[in-house]
Amino acid sequence: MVKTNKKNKLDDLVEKQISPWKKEAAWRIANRNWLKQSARIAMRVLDRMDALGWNQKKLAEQMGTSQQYISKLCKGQENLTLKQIVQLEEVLGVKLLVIGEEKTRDGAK
Amino acid sequence: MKLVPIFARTKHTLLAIQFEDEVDDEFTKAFRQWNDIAYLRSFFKTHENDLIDGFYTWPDSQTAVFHTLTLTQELEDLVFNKANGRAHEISDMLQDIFKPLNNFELNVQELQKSKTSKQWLRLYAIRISRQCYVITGSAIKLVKLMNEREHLKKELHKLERVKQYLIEIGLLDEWDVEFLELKK
Repeated sequence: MVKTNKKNKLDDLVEKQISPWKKEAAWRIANRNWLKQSARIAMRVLDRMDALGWNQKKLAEQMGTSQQYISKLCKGQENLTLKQIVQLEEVLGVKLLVIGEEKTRDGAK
Repeated sequence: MKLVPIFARTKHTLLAIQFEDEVDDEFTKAFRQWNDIAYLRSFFKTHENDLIDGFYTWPDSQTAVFHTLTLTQELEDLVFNKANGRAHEISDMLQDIFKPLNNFELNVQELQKSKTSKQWLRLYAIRISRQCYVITGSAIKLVKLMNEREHLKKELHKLERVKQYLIEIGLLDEWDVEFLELKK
């Protein structure tokens, strides 16, 4: 009886709308590989911004982008293109992406 | 205050509180923060002394961010894999991941386990029936006791607020309240 009362109360009191967590978790799990790289880039960007004394607004101005985009980038949740990474490197004056050591034509490092 | 169901199929197994001044429920908020590099970096910089010289003696804030991401992924995978499960499967999982919140001294075994696993993520909850848990908040806990830091005291306060609310709406008996926290 007590159990039924509680269940009925729950039925009345619990929101009809489900939490967005599951949908967001599914997205994070499906995109985990590139999110990991995005997290590393975000860390380097944040470290560099600290060193330069820049906030997100200043970086957005320097990049000519919206602050919303920079916020997402700093959260490590932006799927950056190579063009965007290179632009970030130029603006911040720091390497963000290193693809192994380059070799000269004769094979020497 | 709203009670938001986490799972669509078994609505009354895991609920999360959404406070009046918040746009998200506390469960969603926890995972968003724990996946947010800017938030984590700022948190560990602010609490760098606790991180390095405190309970866990972690080397630096940068690797702490990536360790937190790993802990978050493990927890998210665990819960997500049960999302379409039956009520008793979800209940078993919740029973397994939550333990009574002990705001005082941990025993030696708990202390050792906690130190070794470096598990500093915390979800806080109140159980309102055998199979139904209500998430009240979350934290990154780098110190031994809840009342050592303001952000942890705030979580204790939220637990109290939710307890009162659940009693008022008749979902909880005053003499049968147990605060819970994530143990793995």
